[in-house]
Amino acid sequence: MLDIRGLRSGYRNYEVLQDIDLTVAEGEIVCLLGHNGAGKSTLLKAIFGLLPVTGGEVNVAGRDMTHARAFDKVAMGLRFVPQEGNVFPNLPVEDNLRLGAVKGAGGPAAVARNIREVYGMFPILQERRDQPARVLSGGERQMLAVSIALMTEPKVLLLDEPSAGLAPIIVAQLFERVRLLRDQMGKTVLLVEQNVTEALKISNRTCILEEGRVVYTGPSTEKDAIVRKLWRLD
Amino acid sequence: MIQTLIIGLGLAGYYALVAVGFALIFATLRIFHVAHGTVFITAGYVFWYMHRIHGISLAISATAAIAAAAALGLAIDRFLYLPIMRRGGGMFSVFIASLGIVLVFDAIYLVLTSGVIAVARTTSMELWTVGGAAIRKFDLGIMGLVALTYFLLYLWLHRTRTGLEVRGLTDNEQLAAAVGMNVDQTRNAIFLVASAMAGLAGVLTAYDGGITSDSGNRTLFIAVVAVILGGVRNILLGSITGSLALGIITAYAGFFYPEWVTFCIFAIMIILILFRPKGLFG
Ligand SMILES: Nc1ncnc2c1ncn2[C@@H]1O[C@H](COP(=O)(O)OP(=O)(O)O)[C@@H](O)[C@H]1O
Ligand SMILES: [Mg+2]
Repeated sequence: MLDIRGLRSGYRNYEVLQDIDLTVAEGEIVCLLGHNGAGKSTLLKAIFGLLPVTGGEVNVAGRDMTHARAFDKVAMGLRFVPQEGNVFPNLPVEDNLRLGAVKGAGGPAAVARNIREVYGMFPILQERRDQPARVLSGGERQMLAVSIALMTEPKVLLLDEPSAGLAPIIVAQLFERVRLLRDQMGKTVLLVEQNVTEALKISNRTCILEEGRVVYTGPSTEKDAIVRKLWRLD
Repeated sequence: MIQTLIIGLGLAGYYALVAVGFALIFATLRIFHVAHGTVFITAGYVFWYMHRIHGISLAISATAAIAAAAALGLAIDRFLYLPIMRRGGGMFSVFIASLGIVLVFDAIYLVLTSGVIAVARTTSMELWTVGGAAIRKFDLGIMGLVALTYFLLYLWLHRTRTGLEVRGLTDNEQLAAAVGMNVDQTRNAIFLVASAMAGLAGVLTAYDGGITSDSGNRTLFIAVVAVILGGVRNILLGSITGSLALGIITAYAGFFYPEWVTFCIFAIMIILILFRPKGLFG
């Protein structure tokens, strides 16, 4: 579903990513681990079209989308939930959701249906529909951020550290939702995480990034190997 | 003194039309668009040229002038600001480019008009006498027009999809791109709407007191102070309150101490900057 080959990208005068190869099959959760500054966020932004790609290719559902802009990628069924600033803080929850749908194919009826669906999944958001997003708790904010991305019924979700700063019980709830997105809705997810234990529980495969390179790929059941690799114990 | 108050409210109307567009552009795109004053005065001159010089009807001249303003504002963004930003230019570069536009157009208009005031009106103003005070119907008309414009702007921002996008862009620019918004299209809409409102103000000013080649800058500076005064947290409310305050202040100052009007405005600005150095536009 998501096929990345030899991807190079980064910031002005600073190429962070070096020849990244990564595939995520349809209906799979791939977890992307790595220390701070490894280039995980950069990789998601490059895949999504928010950073210039200087080499390699990004294929989505078999189509070359390497140089497509973010709004074309949204139209193709790809969505990105940034690590920070992932809601519109001063707008009501429901306007946040509507903004999530600006690139949606359907009309107002489809938007209303998707909002209802999101409220079904996260009832707390319905209770807070008229409140500005800034008053939400950390967990609610992440739920809103994911919901904004769900508004266009995407096939592939790129999630950047959704559990950052959340209490363990909230993390478990949130990850349970992400698991349901795959198991019940067939979504494909590339999940960047720091919370290794929880991320391994829900993901099919794991990929470790170090200094802009992929240094490990394997099934998420290989917890020992992954942890050893992550802490450079090998 | 009601007479002066009404004049002040009329002035506030002009400021409010210019200020709200400036605030909209600043809040959404962080561009300090001083050429907004050029857009304002261009509409004034187009209107004056068509209506006063060529005797074309009020409605057609005004419509053409507002359209010209919208087109000029859009062109400045498309052919100047956007290319600068695409090439990695920061907001300071964009500001200097904007200033460049102001100076170029100032020079052109000064040459074309030889510095003579351009009054587009061909008839005298109708007055209304209320309790001994002579009130110009025109000032009341401006107030009505501004109220209507603000109402339409409110509907645009809160009831349309483009308006929703504009609010999203104001609140979180990065996420606006991430949700798949075509930010370039949204900014076109912002420049069109903001410039059309400046154009309306330019037409009204040219019709009312007339314009000289420096009227654009003067009005723009007052509008900027109004925006600083009212803030851009709430674009509509901030612009209107700031403009009302400055309109009334300039009207009374102009009545009692006309030579101190400019002093007043800039004294207000300096005091504001002194006390809110960071939250200038907050
Ligand atoms: N906006 C930016 N401009 C320049 N360099 C950046 C920017 N954002 C991140 N970097 C650099 O890119 C590298 C990778 O960062 P990032 O992708 O955010 O890492 P991670 O998400 O894995 O913690 C780091 O060295 C970081 O300093
Ligand atoms: Mg990161």
